[in-house]
Amino acid sequence: MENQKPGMLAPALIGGAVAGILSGIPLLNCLCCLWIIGGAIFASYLLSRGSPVTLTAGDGAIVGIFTGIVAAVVDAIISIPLAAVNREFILNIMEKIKEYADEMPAGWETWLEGGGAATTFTMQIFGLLISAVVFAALGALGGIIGVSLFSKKSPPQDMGVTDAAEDTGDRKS
Amino acid sequence: MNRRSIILAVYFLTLTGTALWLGIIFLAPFLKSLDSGLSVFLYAIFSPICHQVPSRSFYFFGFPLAVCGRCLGIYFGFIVGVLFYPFLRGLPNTKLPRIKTFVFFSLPIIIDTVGNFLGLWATPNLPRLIIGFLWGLTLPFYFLPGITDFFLSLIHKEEKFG
Repeated sequence: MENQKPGMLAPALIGGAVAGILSGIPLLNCLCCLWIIGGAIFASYLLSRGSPVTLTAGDGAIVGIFTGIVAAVVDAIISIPLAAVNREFILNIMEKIKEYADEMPAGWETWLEGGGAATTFTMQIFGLLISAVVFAALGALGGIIGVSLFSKKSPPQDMGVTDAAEDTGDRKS
Repeated sequence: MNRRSIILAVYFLTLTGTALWLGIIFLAPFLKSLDSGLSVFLYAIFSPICHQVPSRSFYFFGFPLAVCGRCLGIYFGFIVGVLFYPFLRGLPNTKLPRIKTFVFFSLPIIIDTVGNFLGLWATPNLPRLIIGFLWGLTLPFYFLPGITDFFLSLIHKEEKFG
């Protein structure tokens, strides 16, 4: 029993909450998808810390997918009250950037006023579904990277499934 | 499904999905230029994963793309990485690359992001695109073996437990 892999729920919840909050906060959300990848790397770190066995890249993908879904829900929840602040933040950036914007296409500064990023409630629900899928993909990526960063190394096992050990460069084709 | 089918399915679904994703990024401003209501929907798809600040985006048909320059670079880099993956690593190879490679390619985007965030400098859009591209190039070399390994482990369990 002591060689069992630890549960993925807690790392996914923690990593997803961190990623969702950070990606929803104005100013911090300028890092775009990087927060989701970072959150999933963090979840992988938590998972590997509590794991007595070597984690596979597939383990990283699973915990990352869960992390992404949690992050999408958290992001959607905290984005509701912060939407107005976010919009104000973007408008402030655009005001500051105007003086350097000689080469921008005409009318770019009225983009937000024209409803470029406007969303309705239905859109937000649909957006949540879409972002859950996209965050899950980004989370899988982060989880896999996290496993390659933090997973304990072990001798290769011939089980038909590869482990997450780093490639030593001696490629076998 | 056998091992070979899974490996091919993961690769071609990733390639197709990424191409579709890039297509929507360009389709959004094009539809906006035609005053189509669908453009709002397409922009909304990307709003949770990109700040979509117009001044930090490239323009197409007079309107900003659905993602900023850095994100566009990441997605472009990703699809180029996917295209080169079979030649550089071989599709059946599910070993992850050395982590030093990832750290090396991540340094520019980390330094640039931190510098911009702290207000030390403001990177123009083209260098942001290039920096994002460099980082995006490395990502399929983790994503593809990881996802392939995930699905292979599923069939391994199926075979093991009937």
